[in-house]
Amino acid sequence: MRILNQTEEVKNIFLRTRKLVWIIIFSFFLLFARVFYLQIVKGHDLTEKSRDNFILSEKIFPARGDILSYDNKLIATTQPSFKISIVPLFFAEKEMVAEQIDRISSVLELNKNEISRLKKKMDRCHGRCKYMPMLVKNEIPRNRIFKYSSYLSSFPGIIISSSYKRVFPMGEDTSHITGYVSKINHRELTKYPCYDPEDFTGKTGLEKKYENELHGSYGETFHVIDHMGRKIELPENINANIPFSKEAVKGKNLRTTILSYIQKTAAQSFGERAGAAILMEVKTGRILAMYSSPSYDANLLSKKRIPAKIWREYSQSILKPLINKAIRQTYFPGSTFKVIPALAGLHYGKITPSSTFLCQGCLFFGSDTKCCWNRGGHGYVNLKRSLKESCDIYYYYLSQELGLDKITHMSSLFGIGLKTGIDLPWENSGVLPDRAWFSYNYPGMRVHRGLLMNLTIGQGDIRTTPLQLAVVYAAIANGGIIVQPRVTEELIGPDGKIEKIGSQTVRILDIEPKYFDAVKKALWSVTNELGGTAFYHADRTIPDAAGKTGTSQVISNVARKKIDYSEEERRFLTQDDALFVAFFPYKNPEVVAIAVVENGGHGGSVSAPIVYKLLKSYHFKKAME
Amino acid sequence: MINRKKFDMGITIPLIILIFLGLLSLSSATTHNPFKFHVQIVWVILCVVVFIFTTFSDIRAWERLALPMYFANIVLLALVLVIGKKIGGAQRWLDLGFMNFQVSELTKISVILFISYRLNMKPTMEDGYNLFDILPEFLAILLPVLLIYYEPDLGTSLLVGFVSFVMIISTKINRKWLTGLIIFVIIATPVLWQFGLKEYQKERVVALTTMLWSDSNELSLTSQYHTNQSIIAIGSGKLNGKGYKKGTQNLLRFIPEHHTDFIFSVYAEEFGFTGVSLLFLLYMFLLIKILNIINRVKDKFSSLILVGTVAVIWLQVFINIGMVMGMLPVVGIPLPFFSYGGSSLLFNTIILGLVHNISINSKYS
Repeated sequence: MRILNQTEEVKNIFLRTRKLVWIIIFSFFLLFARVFYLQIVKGHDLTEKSRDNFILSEKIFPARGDILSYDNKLIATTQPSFKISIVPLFFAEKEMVAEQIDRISSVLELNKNEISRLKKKMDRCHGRCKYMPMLVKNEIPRNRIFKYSSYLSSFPGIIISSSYKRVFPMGEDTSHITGYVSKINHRELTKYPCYDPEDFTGKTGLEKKYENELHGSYGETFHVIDHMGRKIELPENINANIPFSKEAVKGKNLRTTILSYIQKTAAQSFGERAGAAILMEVKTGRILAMYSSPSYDANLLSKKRIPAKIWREYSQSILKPLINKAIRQTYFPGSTFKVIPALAGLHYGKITPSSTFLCQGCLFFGSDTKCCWNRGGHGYVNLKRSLKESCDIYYYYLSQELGLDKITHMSSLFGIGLKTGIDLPWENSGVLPDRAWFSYNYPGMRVHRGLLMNLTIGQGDIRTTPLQLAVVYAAIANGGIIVQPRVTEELIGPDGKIEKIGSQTVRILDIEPKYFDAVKKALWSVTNELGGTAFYHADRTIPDAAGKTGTSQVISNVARKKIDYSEEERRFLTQDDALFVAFFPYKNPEVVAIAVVENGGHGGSVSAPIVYKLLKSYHFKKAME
Repeated sequence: MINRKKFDMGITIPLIILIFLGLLSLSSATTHNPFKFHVQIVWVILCVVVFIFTTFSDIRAWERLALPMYFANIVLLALVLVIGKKIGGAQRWLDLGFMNFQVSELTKISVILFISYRLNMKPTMEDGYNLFDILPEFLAILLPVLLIYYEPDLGTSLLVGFVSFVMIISTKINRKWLTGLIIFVIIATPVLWQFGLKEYQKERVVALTTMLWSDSNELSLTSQYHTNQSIIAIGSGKLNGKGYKKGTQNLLRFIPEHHTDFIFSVYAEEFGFTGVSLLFLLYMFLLIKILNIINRVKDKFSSLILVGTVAVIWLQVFINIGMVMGMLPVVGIPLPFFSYGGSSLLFNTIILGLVHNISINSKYS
């Protein structure tokens, strides 16, 4: 084995390192390829990304449009409020998190719960979450935020943003009309894909119905931020072409047909009782007041997270404060329904205004007995007396003359069993038990006389909403025009452009005016003639109104006997629902008013005073103008 | 007058341009606080003196210095582990009062000198070294490698090992032993992965592989965030760059460690593909130029120093830029003549001075 000499060794090294030259060239080729890929191929994308890094785009939430009453009182508006969030990655190093949270919570005066919730959120925050703003405190009023902001500049990764808080100045009085707003949910996000996930949407009432119009459109502003997420001035030698900010556009203002003073009257007149009241113009369907008792306070619910205690209280109450009873709850119309068979009888020629039936208190047929509320009997009863004294027997006879189909046909022409089309969500269509309804619900059953008799006096299976009854009486008052009720008068754009919502007529009934006059006259006697069911409850300080009482049994007399009356609540709940509906003034009707008091007892004594309060409020305000 | 014969323009000119570009990038990276830039200027002036001194020193003196330097280095490395200064979780520096001295930078040069010296002493057989011939060198290198590894500084420790490996195989190695060694490495890698790497190191490697292969930009780990920001900086430079002191990633400090390990991304952002190409060509030119000197060198010691220098510069450049561009895991390897840091610049200058020395001597002696 030979030992190499120095020259040979160096030559050997030189030859071997020739390979190294190629390896080096290859390695630089790799670097070249990568840098070419990054700078030339992906250059554009990465430039965009480098802009995204330091240009923070911030969505500006628009102010929701105001909702006004017809007399220009605010019933829903917005107030500025601020929120503070942190970007966890920049906020603190891992070891410093607890200390930083303590510092910021003393500045922001967070309570113990908020601190522990924030700490928990920070603990669970990994990956992408670290780059997302995390809410620390919201609904901070304007004066507070100035105080905080001077301290906050010492924290990295803080974002202060402004938003709006929805307020309802009239509170409970108008909550069922306005509805409330709350944080958008998943389903709504698919419906409104351009909404921010932190945004609010209307959940009920006008807020829901006119969500698109009220919401407004987002604006956008751009900030320069450094690697800590702090907003900074752009260094002057950087040419960044920061886009111009776009202002948020406030939603359209919505002017309702509601008159705030009548609405207030309606709210005050119910007291502790549950029920609903409506005041509506007979010719246009404009609703001047609509109240459902008990109401809820939309201010309490219009929060990002509805407090569980309040929600439980509202949703579990047996008086159902969250339901707008004027359009969503159905009742037996009771005697208020009688005008429809009366008009049907006149229209089909089965009765004349002067023809009579004999009321002897009770009616026996087959094995069944049907009695009038007046067991003594009314004697010979004509149309006027049948309505004035609300004789049941008269209508039992009339039902036999007319038969089921004629009654239900006339009812559906008046809109019973159909939605009125009011511009509020979740309207109930009620129930009209026509032949199709019976064959669907009781297949094979013969519709016997008893069922028909019940229907004619507004009992049995028929259910109507207070609003449907208001429409029926409006049609009687205006001579057969079925109007579509509405609460919206006009939409006012941010540029002041006014968009009128016109009145709609659903249909015009082809019934002779003299029949309407006969019924109207009879309704007048209810309130203005001795013996009328509401005679003693009428308010004589205003011109004459014409109306009809209704006392609808919630449960049958047979069932009532079985009830354990030791329980006060049960007794209360099984009392009759009291109804009163009237149009005013009698001579030239302008408005129709209805009040339904749940478990109120007799319609005339409980509901009529509420109706008269509404009418009085309407009349005197009008007289003053 | 400078005697033209006393300077090898092929080495000095690329070197001057590199240092100039490095200072340019550093001045941009330190816009907010130019203190470090001023410190680096002082270092550069010092290094000019050192370079000239090394150029005209006796190469035989360095040969004699190799062994003492090696032992001094071991002592210092041990000292770092005991009384070293911790910066960012790693104990890599000795506090000298006026500067933080990074001992592993000294290791790079002392190992090159040590191997050149030892292998020069050992004549090669016709069929090359076998394992037992080079076992003492192997163990002698393992010692600093392990000491650096425990600082911990995986990057530099692997770098030192790899430089030694390149130097050893550039001489003649018995083919059988070489094959055996390669097989050993293949077997040892998974074992090292399992027991040798710390969790954060594994995390980085995994993060890198997923990023390279899936091309996704989901940010989850801090190191991946750094790499991602650095990639954005480089890519957004496009063809001609954003211009000197106009890099948004740099000025708004989205680039991490933008004056040390990630300085390349500052340079790439502001000078674009054109500037990067110039830089790569300069490095390539310098490295190949050095390797070509071997052709006219007469002794083994000098030629091994040349190989070692090429290996150490090349590997640092490749690892640093590869890391900054997201091709390699994030390790603490500076970019020669670019990154801020006195120790790195000083020892890189010394070794380039030696190369220059060898080049001039081989030409004119």
